[in-house]
Amino acid sequence: MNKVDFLNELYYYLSPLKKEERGEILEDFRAHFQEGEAAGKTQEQICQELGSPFECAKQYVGDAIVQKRVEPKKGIKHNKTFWTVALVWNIIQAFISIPLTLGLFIASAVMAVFFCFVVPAISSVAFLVFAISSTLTVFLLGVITLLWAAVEIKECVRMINK
Amino acid sequence: MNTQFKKGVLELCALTVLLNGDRYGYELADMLGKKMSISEGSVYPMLKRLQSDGYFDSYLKESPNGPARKYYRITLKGRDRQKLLQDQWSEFSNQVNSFFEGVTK
Repeated sequence: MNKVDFLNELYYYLSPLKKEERGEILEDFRAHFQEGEAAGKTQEQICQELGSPFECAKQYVGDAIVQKRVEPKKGIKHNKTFWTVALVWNIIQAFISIPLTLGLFIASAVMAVFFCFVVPAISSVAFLVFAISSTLTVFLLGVITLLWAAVEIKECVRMINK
Repeated sequence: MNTQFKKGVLELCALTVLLNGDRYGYELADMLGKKMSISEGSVYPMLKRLQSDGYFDSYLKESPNGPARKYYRITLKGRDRQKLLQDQWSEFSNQVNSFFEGVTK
């Protein structure tokens, strides 16, 4: 095994970690090869002394799991494409729900004002309660939809960056 | 020799080396790898863990030949840790030794 094989294999087994972190780790090992070669060792000899890339990676990934920076694999693992599609879908959903919610909210509010002030003669307490409660319900539904979409979007972004 | 067996003590060894001056990664890997007969590759994950636990910090320093080297420096927290581990190690090895003496008598 030479330097390139070692680094490639190490990078592969470090895949549960973030790209940035994998880069930093590889930098340490590149420096190790550099120093070893400067001390007159062959790449094969250095690889031998380092041990297997899998064993090295196992320790890094194990530590990351213990420190809760990485979740252990469980169930179906979706790939990047899945999370990207999910992200786009959630953004579309959020955009649709904003005007829809706002429109319904304004309509309900206008109705409430109309019944309370413009036609007080025909309005009654029942109408007022109905108008205010429908306005609030629509508003709350909209807020919940938006919050839900925000949470989903955040999760998608996290999974894509992983 | 059992690698799990050595892993805990390796931390104490690294802390003790750094107690006597800053070292760069290759130096530590070479030294610990040879003296403790472990694979040198397992030194780097340990250094990273000890650093993220706040026992070491690191800085870059020019080297006479080649690119800058990453040096590790023990922190106050690391000094406390070294003392604790050293005490634990002494106690444990005494216990093991007196256990063996008791058994072989």
